[in-house]
Amino acid sequence: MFHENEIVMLFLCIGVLVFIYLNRKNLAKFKGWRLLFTSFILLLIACISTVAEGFLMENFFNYLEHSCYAGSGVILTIWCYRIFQENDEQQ
Amino acid sequence: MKYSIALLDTIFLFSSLAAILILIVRRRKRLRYDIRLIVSALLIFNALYSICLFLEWTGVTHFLEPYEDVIGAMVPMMWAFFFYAILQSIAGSDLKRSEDRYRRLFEESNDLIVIHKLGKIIDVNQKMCDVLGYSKDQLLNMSIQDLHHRDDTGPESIERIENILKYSDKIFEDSLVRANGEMICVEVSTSIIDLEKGIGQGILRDISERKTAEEDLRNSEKRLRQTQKMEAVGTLAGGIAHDFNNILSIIFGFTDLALMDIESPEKAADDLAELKNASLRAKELIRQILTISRQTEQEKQPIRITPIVMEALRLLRSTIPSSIEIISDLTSQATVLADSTQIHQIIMNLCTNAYHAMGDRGGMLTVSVGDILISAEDIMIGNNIAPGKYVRIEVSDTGHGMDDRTRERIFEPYYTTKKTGEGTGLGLAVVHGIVEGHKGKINVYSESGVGTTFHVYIPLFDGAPGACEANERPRYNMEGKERILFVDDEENIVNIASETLSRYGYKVNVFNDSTCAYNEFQKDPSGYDLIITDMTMPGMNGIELAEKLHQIRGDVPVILCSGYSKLINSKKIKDMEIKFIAKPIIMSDLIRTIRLMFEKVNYEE
Repeated sequence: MFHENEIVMLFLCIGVLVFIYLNRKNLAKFKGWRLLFTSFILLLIACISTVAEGFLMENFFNYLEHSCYAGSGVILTIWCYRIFQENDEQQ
Repeated sequence: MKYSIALLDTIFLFSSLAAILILIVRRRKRLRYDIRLIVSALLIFNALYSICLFLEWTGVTHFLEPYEDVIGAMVPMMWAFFFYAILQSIAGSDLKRSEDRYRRLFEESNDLIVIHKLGKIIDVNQKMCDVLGYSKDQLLNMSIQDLHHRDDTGPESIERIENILKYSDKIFEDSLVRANGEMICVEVSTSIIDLEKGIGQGILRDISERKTAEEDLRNSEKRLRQTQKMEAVGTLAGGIAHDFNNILSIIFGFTDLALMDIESPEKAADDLAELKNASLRAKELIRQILTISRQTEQEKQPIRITPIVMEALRLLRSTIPSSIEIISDLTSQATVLADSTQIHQIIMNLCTNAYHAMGDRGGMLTVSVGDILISAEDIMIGNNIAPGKYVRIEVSDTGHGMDDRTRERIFEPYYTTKKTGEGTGLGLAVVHGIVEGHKGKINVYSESGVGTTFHVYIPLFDGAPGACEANERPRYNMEGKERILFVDDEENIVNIASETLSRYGYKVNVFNDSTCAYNEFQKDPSGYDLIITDMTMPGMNGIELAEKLHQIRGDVPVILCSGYSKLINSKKIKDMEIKFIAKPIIMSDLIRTIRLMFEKVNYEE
């Protein structure tokens, strides 16, 4: 089945998603917002997959979970790289 | 499958480590401190969680295993903090941008901006420093009152200051003093910033140049009106000369007849009566010309228009050819608030225009004055006049009329269709200006070959006519025994005055020279009850003589006589408390004035 911490992570991610939705207009003004949002959505998908693999298609969702974690990490790194590069250009 | 998952976890781990490395390497780059801290924490938890995932796959028991749940929960928590920090950052930069915008607006504004706390200046923009010539530090140690002239403490000034301090969102004009002492005119608009703390803002616009331009414009308009009046006098000069020659013929004729009839006193008296009538006509004609050419603009006062129109028509009748029939219908008895000279000018200009339109072939000039009520329905049918009660002056002719194109341009200055010498194109522009100045309207209806009609609307005044239309004069006993000093450089006038006044019982001492009269008065100041003096005399003029006599004896009454003098104005006469009589002197009028003065003096005593 699934672990309690996986459910906690999922609910926390959903809470963050609600927060993003409520403040979407202001957050969209932030530089590299799309990368950040994509990174977070991949984390959310990873959490959903973790829970889902306890019920069905274990291998697929397990693979999807790890892929999403990896994707989230890579995209967050790209954001870090770009945000500092822009600062460089501005200076 | 397992290897690929291990690879993915490795990618997750290394990407997180790479991001941490970027943060370390670029630590000097600009990024809000809180965001940098939270991103670092997020990346560390990502890295730890990726290690947990990797080791979980290998099945090895590791030191992070007891904390895996906490680390997993911290990842979305860090994301939440991250987004919250981003929001704070955006709000902060919005505020900063707003502040920057306001500061730029404040500093780069072309207007003078002052922020004050209960009148004490707490901030000003650079423009204010530039215009007033003070440094910012100097202004910050001043109050709003300090920017005004130190003698400017009248009620108006206090009200202005109160307007600023009470934050009543008002716009008003004010005068400020520059550091070098020069005055500048400003338009002030006040507003509240913080009512509780008593902080307000004033935006001031330097309107000194605008004021000067307005003054220049007013002077130009005045000059334009005067030029046009002179042009009208020029146009009428032929007719006036003709009228004068007729009057002079009458005077010469009846003088000859009186000389011939000297043996027959009754006939001679009739001749002299006619001579006097002709002289009165001449006097009236001169008065009318002086009315037209008067340089000073009078204040608007309640007057009836009908007598002015009648007077203008009398003058016109003697100046335009008899082939033009003048029909008048003057029914209005209403009062308007107007300058009689300017109303006179309107009639003269419109009628002269009508005369030019009809020319020597003649026609009919109709002038009517009536009261009219303009209602809201009248506006609906295309009348461009505000609803209300008006006096309507209608001037129509049977001349050549105008086409539409001409009609559209007739009120433009210097636009004329007349031949050279007939007009400069100022007449209707001046009429338009005068009517606008009286808050009235002028409309024109014209048809080529048929004629033209002008309608002038002047708003009615709800009040009584002015004192100029006095009622019947009170009767006085004309005889008296008072002692009079009479001064005029014209010997004949002195002789007539001496003779006439003596016949009425007065003791008269006459002089042709103002200095001699002054010396005589100096010898015995209490020996005279009244001084009558001409205005224009060699040496000392009438005003100067009156001033000097008043220095010796302040209560001696003075009557000043003059035909025309720029030195005389009603304010000066009022200030000096002297009576004015216009020349030519009609002795009966002079004696009535003398009695009136003595009765008043006796009454006051």
